[in-house]
Amino acid sequence: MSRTPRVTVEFYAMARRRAGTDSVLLTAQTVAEALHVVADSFPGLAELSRGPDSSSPYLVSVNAGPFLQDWDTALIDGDRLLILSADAGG
Amino acid sequence: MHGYHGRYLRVDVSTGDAQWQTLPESAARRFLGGVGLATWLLLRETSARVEPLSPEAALIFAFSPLVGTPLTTSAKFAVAAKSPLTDRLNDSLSSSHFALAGKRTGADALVVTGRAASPSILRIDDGRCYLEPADDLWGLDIPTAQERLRRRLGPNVACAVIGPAGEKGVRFATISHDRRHAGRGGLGAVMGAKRLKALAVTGSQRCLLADPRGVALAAKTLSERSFGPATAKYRELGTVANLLTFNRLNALPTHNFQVGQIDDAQAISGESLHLARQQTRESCAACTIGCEHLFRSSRGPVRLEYESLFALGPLCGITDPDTVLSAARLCDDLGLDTISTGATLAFAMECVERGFLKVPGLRFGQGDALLQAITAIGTRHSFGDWLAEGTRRMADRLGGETARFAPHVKGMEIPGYEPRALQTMALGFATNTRGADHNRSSAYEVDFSSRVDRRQVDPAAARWAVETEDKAALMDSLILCKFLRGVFTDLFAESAELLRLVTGWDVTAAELRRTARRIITAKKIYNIRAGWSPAEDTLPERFLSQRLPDGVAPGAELSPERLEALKTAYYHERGWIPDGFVPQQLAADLELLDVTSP
Ligand code: SF4
Repeated sequence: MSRTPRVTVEFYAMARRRAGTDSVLLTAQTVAEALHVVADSFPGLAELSRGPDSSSPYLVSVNAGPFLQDWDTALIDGDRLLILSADAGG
Repeated sequence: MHGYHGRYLRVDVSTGDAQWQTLPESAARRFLGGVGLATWLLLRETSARVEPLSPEAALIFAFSPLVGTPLTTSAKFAVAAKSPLTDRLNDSLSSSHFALAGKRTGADALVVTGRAASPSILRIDDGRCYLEPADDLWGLDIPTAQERLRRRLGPNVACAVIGPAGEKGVRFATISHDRRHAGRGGLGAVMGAKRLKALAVTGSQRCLLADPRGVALAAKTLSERSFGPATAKYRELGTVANLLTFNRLNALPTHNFQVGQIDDAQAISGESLHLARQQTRESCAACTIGCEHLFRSSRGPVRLEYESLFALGPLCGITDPDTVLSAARLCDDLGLDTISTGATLAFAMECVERGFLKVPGLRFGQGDALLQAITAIGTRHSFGDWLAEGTRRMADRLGGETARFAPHVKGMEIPGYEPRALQTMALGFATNTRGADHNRSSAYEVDFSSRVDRRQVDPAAARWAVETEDKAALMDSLILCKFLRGVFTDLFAESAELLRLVTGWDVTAAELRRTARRIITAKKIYNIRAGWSPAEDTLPERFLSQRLPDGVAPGAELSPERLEALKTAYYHERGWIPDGFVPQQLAADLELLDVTSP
């Protein structure tokens, strides 16, 4: 049986402020699963459990690749999941 | 006409002549106020072929129908002129009490031409217009001049002021008011060329609102919504929070756009600045968001935005927080646009390192040299005299291959968005009438979404780039602060309702979409008249021939073919012909015929 991937979640801007830390290590098979863990662990980020939503104040990317619409994306060991403020400009 | 005075004031400071002109309701409805109204006035009042620093050039201050209402973030004004930096139309926004007092003069806009015989203050006092001597203020930095003006004229007179940079004709000089700046494109130099140290406004004239109770209710709702999550970043962190995000995405312009990341970004991150140096938070008049974060520096408190942080920091290879904050404060005091100052210095640093230019000590990462150079630019002293010309003119004079890495579009230095890593923004930089600009084209919003792969954007993105530009044109003409944009679910429909309450017009979302398109096409018409050619809508060769060298997005590149395809799609979306010109039929459809004849 394969081991559940260990991934690092990095927080930026408001996500970091709400999490109170810059990163966290966790295990998850998919992006959605990882975000549920994050939402459960950090009440300030509870809305991440709602799934992808155009009104979400956060964007999500694996290894700084394209921002994800499909949160069922599978993760592999060593992936870095970035959560950042959607209003990244200004 | 509700929401408007229905007139504007034309002042010739050479002669002191002032004439009231009627603002027709048809023009107000087609162009609203702010940037839109200023564009209409520029097209109507002056030749686009005018030399920007000549007496004939017009400097326009435009208010808007929402100024003076209780709607949050509406205390704003636009300044517009032909830019001495780009030789194209330039508009810039600023905020606060000047907007309120300016509209209370009884004018919807002020059109200033001429050149005063000696340094002067242009005073507009409840519609009365006159010049006062300003010899004692000439040469003073902005905070000192503002303080003297406050003591001389009293607290009820609001002043827009230039610093030494504007007086000396630095091509990226600002006009400032209460630590806020009409920053881009050198409008301070236009004001300096008119020998105006300050424009001082006061008055008591108010505009009637069509539905005062409706406006009050809408204002209350909008204020409540402005406290929500859509503005949390601006309230709690400010735009400086962008730095670490951009660095992580290899999108932080560094060492004159040679790379997209910098070591030790943490040292100057918004998060670190907040922990170690946050002093206070402020807001413009009539704003419930309060996005302005002031930080401690050895030169006193500094209001810092991401754009100043990136330009005076990583772009110049600097990661010492006090140096960056001091540099930002120095720019504010002298009246220099921080983006153009940082980019000009970064370009000069690369030129020095590659042997095209000799300025002792001016190298990436050298903080003392950076601070000295800013003073030299702001006073046009020594080598600062020709850095004050901006990167395009510097490259023209240096020759060789320097034009390939001079970081500008149409002469306007590029803001803090690496074009190869954020390619919808690259399209916005290339096509925008103001030159490289993130405020009129907010196309980065598309890159920061799951609609595109920001490093390989295809032409379908042009539609969304147009949409962000249209929204910006609407907000800049109403005027509402763009930091409020996230609270609207349908900006056009909700803006139509606000405008209906203020003016009584039966305006719809569809009409406002057309208004936004009209304003953008009107700006393009001005630029075409000023001599625009299709070759201007491009990026410096560096971005189109070199990949980003390292970081998380190794190999991110923007080929000339990709940029061409994006531009073609953008022109098509705008209804312009394939090389970017405006067809006469479109001008007619957009009711622009009154401004299309030269
Ligand atoms: S959000 Fe910031 S820039 Fe906008 S009006 Fe408020 S204080 Fe001024």
